[in-house]
Amino acid sequence: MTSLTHMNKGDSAVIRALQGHQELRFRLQEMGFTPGAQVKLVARAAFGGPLAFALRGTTVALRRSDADCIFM
Amino acid sequence: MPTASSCDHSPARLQTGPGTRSIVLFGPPNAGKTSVYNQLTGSRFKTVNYPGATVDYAVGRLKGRTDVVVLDTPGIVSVVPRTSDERVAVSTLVGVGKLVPGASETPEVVLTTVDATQPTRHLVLVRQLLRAGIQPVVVLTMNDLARAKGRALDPDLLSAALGIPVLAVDGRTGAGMPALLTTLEEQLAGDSPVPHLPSVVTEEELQADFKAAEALVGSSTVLGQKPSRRDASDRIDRVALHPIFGLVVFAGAMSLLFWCVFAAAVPFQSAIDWAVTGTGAFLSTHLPNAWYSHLLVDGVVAGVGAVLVFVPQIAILFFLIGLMEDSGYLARGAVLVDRPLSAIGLNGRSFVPLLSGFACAIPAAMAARTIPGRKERMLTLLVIPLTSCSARLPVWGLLLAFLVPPGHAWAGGLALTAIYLASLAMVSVAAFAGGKILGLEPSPTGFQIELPTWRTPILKNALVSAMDRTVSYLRRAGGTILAISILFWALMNLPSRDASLAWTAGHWLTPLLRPMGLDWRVGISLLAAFAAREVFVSALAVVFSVDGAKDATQGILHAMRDAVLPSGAHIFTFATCAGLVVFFLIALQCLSTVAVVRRESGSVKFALGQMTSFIVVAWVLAVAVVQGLRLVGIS
Repeated sequence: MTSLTHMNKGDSAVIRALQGHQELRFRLQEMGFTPGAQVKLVARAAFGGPLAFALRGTTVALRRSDADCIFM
Repeated sequence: MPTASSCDHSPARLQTGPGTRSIVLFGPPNAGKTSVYNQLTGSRFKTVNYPGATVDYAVGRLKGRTDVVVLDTPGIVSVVPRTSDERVAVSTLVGVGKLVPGASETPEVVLTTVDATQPTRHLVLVRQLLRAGIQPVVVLTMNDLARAKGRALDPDLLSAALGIPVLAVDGRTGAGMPALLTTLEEQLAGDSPVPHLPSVVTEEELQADFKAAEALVGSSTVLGQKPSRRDASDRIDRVALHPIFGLVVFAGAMSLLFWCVFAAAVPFQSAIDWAVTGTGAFLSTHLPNAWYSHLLVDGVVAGVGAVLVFVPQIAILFFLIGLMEDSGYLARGAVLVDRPLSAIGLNGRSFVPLLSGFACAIPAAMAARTIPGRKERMLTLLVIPLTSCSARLPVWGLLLAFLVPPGHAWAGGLALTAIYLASLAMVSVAAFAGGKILGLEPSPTGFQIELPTWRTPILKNALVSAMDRTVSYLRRAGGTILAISILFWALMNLPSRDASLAWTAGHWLTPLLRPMGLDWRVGISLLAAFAAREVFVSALAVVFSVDGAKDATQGILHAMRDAVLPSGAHIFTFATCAGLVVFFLIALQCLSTVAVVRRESGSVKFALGQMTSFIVVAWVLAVAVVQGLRLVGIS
């Protein structure tokens, strides 16, 4: 399983699992990053900054370390 | 800027009696809640395109009804709150009676919004409400956009599946409002059940809610075939968040923002200056030579006029932040600065509070409510007062006249840029040091932000909000400045000009002022600046007895150039003015800010510790700068 940080711009993927701190995991799922959800990488900010994903009709940006807890 | 939805909408101003019934608007951020609120109350409350734009609740009356109030609450993604703005939202579900006198504890109607372009996430919240024993009325917003995308939802199908009323409403045009009002009337007649809000939602429950919401959306969608508008928004994001272009655009936007604040304000400032000068001249020629004439001309006109000159800059800053907010750019800005801010212990969510800080620390401190982690939030509160707020502009304007050779506009601009950069440097140092000293644990929640769809900013919205904010700034600051100007004039002239009360008070400060190269007159002005920083300018105007008839700023400058210490040395030199700049950059002199930080941090110790340490550090560094410059031969 690889994390969402390994996606290329424009790629789509289906979330399979989440790891990491319970509070963070929960927060991410509240934002819509639940297992089974489809995401698409829209943009990557400079210098290892946040990644922007299109999911569930909206766009959500996540810090890289947060995206590293989500696996596809 | 996410301001508290306060001022004219505060419950204190809304007279409510016993038997008042309430409607609480509760729902996710960026789902059109505020638009619906405006439609229901006839308010012109601006809607903004930044997650967490409402950090406090707003109260208004239902249009045409005196016995029904509507509350707008901060956006929320779960009934279990995690940030303090979310706690505000949840508290309205069980404690309306505490906020609105005469209303029952729980609202008669909970109105929740579901954005039809992203229904799954929003329906999860509806399911959580239902489980908590709340039967909300669902307002389906943006269904026209969803239809354009080819994925409109059928409100009747949704309603049948959920067992609660679901109504499609266009928050901008008001289409669908009559049906909503009818439903509300019916619901208001019912009683208000006591909800059982859960203290936790488990991961399993959440995942099950998402599954159920997906199924619900699937069965209620009326499919069509049209291109997605979201795709256009994503295309803009590919540039706005691009590693290179994104930074170029961001640097350009920020430079343009601050350039406009200074350059575009000039004609307005000249006009105000002209009016103030004219008023002073008119009054001094037409009034008798009595004490009250001097009070009016030297105290009121000179004092207030010196500050009024800077109102255009403040208004322009508010206007431009409003435009960026409306377009959706602020959320992108937060993404771009998350990385550098996280290096100093802050968070991308600190961006909007910090940017607002350049206008005023008070709304900025309230905006910090949207920051989820405690460490990041406390650190943001700590450093907000170091951003160069608009109240410091009059002070910079005055001091720069002594630091920059006259007739070089570019040098002034450069020096001002340097001051703003120094302000950012102070923010970084303080955040870094504060993180170490306060020993706060970094929070595990990272950084997530929803990027609202890009939209063309509505000029009128930004203008109205800039006007509202400027007027509220003037209302808050204006009275203080007027009062202090008068009080100050009295202290300077009583019991007599040569042995005034100010003279006595100022002399106690002399041991602290001498190392800064200043005398009691500047000291007393510094004291006055604790009411509001810009009072420093009007206080100097009074203390060095500027004739209000002269040009508002030129008058002070002449008087200051001539001012000398008992030794005969000039007071306002390059060194002492540089020292004053350093002092004003750091010292926390704004008592309103201290009060708000106390409330927002929930700690008296934090607020007082912040104030004291900032003042001590400011004094030490100011003395170091003055003495250091003198050592190298710059007086």
